[in-house]
Amino acid sequence: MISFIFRRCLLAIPTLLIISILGFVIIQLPEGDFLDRKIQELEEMYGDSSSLARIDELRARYGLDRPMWQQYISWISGFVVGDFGESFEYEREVNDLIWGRLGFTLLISVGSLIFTYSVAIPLGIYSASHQYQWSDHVLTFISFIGMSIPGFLLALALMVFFFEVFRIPLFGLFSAEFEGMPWSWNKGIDLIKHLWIPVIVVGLNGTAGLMRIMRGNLLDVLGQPFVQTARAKGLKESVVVVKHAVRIAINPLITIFGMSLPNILSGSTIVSIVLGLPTVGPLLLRSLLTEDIFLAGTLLMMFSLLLIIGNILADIALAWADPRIRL
Amino acid sequence: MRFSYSKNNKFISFIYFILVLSSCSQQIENQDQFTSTSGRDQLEAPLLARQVAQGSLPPLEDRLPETPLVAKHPFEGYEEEGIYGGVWHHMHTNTDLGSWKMIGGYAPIIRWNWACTDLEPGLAEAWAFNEDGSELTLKLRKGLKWSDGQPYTSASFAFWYELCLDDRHRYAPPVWCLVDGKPMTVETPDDWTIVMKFAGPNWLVPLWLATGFWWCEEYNIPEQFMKQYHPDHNSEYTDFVEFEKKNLSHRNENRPSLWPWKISKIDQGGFQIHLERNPYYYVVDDLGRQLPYIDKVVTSLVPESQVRVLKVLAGDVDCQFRSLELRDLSLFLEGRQKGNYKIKMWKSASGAEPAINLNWSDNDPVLRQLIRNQNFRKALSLGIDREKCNAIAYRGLLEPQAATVSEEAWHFVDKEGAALFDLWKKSDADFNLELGNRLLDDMGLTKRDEADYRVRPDGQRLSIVLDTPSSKNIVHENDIALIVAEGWEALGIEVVIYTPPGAELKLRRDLGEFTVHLHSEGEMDLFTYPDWVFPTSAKYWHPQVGKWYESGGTKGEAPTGVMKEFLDIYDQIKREKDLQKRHTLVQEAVKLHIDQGPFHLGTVGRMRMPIIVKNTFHNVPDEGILGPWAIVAPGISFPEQYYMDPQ
Repeated sequence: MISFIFRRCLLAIPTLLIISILGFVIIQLPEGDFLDRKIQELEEMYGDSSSLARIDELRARYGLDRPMWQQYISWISGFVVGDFGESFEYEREVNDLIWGRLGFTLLISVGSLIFTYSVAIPLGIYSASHQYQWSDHVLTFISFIGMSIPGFLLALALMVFFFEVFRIPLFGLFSAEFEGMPWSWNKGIDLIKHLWIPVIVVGLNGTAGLMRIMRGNLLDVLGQPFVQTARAKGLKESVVVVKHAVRIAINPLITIFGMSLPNILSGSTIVSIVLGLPTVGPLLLRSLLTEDIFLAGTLLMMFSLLLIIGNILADIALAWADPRIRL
Repeated sequence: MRFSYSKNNKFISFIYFILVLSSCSQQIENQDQFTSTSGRDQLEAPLLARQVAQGSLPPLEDRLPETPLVAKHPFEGYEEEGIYGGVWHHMHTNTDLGSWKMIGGYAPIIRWNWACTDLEPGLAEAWAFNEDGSELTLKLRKGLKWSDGQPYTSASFAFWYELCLDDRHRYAPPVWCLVDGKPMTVETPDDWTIVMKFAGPNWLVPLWLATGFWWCEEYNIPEQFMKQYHPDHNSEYTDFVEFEKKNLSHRNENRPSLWPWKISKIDQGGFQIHLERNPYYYVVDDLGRQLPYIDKVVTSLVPESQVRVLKVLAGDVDCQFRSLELRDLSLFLEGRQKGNYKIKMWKSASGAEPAINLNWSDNDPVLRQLIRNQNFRKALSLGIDREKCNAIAYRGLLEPQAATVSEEAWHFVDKEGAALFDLWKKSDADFNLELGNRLLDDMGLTKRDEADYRVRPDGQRLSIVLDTPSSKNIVHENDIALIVAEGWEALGIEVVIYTPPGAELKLRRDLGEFTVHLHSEGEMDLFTYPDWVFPTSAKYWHPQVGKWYESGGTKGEAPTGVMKEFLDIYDQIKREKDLQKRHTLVQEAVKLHIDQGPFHLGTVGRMRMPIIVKNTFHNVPDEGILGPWAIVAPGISFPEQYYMDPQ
């Protein structure tokens, strides 16, 4: 088991290295650099870019006049020691910008995962054990709707609905009076009151899908001989389902856990942009649009890191749940 | 405090209840002698009066200059002298804080007046030229102070200019310091006098000092504070990297300021910026009370336009000038009552939204020759259905016209000027495909290819590439491009709409490698920003000739014919002492545009921009000109005299 974990962790290093090179190159593929973009944007918005005079000196200061591989080396060598470089757009250390936002991203993602699994598994079990009854049909109907509505649309609809009916503006993670205040009990409560919307919106798509998978797996397992045996032994139906069938049917869901992380992260990005949440999503989008290379590169690396860690955790959980994997 | 969330949660409501109770009791405690009076008899904000009483701040008379600047309010919408206090919630869209600096970042030595028809004193009380215009003397107000209490003197200006002459960093002498390529010299005989000496007449300098927030931001350097990061004054530093960073006003809350509100906290990585009143601010109201009235400003970075709309509808914004779109007007109108705000419509004063810029120096020699033919340009202009542009892109809220600068610009205020402007606005601005086709036929472009497009003299299909921005900041331009393309296709010209990703649009424009590109146009002062009418910069319809002028004749393409006439007129303007004569020269150039133009084609103009003002927010002008940046609206309306009802 230990060597299995060790091997998986070791494999992550070259994976990250390749991601960093690919990401860095792709970010810079569009013509021009950050300053060109910036000037273009200023002129589009205001018709004047005088505030950005003397562009060549700025370019030299940002190191944008050097070849791409040099920029990459200086960035990645800092990365190893936790210096992610400076964001051009925000004119401050990337370090200052991302940690708080990564925290909120993680909070929403983990919250969504918990929501997804804690809702999907019981409902899936219920649905399977009541196959073709009216309650199964209702749940199936709802889950298909859940699967087919894109997250951003749901977020927009909820936002408009709550605003029109209750006059509650749903954007952001804090009410205006708590924004920028130091942490306190009340601020925490305020956060929780805002958090449930993005958590549900991000999680809903996955929940619906997962519920269908749980139902299908369980139905497969319920038809197998060992379940018949358990029933023949005279065990209660609930014990047969939960202890014998679900134990086997849940294995694929653990694998899916690793695979659902990318969906959750990208889902939270889109929903964050719509709801104006202080997560890394809007920051990433903007930095990609403006070719703010160090910020975008760092965020991509952070996302990849989260994914890899999530996958390793899923692998470990699966190995733990199913001895066959460990071999 | 909002209760509505927690109706279904008794526990949370209980906590809220306790919180409200405790905050109420705090408020009662805070209502001491200074805030109990509600009237307009205090000469300074209660917040500051308390600090003076505690001894942590010098008394008002030591903080104000000997002769403070009295804020003017020659506009409808001004109600009365305000009450101190309040927090102004605002949104900015860009990390450079530009949209806020247009409000609270205008602290120039000389100011534009509200109507943009004259200059008036700012940090300087008076200024005067010598006989030949080669020497400008500025008299600063005595006793001006930075927000940290350090004196603002001529030494600040001298420090800045010394910095400009040093070439170890990114600061360099701005264009207006140069006459015939030679930089000015700055002398400071005493703390209150600045003498700028030029190599020749430089009559436009006062305009430059007054224009934009970016110039005053550049020349107003808190030299006492900044010296600690200067390698010559602090041996800790060997280069200017730290100096340049610390000198960014919107990134450094410690940098002293001359603004009405100084930045006090940069929060959440710059996503929320708090500003508080500058206790040493040099402007007073009619009663001699120190401005600003409003205590604090909180401005949040909201890059998403739909989130901005929602924030306005929710009443989260007290007063907002820029970054709201005309297309959301009906939503704003609908939400007025619930959001407790009113809408004031300001003018963009634009002459083209956008202008169709034809590259005078197209890389393709055949197209270049065609574009230099006046009849070809006229035909293109006649092929634009401006009514349709208006109806589709702007729901009929704008006016179809030829591409011009702002109608309100001070060059056209006299009767003659107004008549000329009217003529300019209407020249070749009809939609007339028949005449357009006839003009093209008369040029000899009669041959058509199998797809019924006209054939150029070299046998190729007559095809024009139209560059449009991919940015979501500009949604109208894509609509307009489609309508323009439709009209030109009807003239037998193939149109390819090209939307390059990223910065390619700018690179194409900078290198002059485009045929047609779109750009909004509007300008109040052509003396300082002449490039809309005169080919003085590598932009718009004259990238190569402008490059030639900018580089002093080393790059680009030397002007000939009418281009040379334009540049000669502008050089005359720079040397002309008499203001009226300068206006006449601008009008002469406009006549050239009418007679030999169009050089850039108009679509629609005169956009209105919605301004959101809470019903509890006062003294905001009912109407103003928000468009061109150079005049810094609403900064020229003295926003420090806006006030809010007490809570």
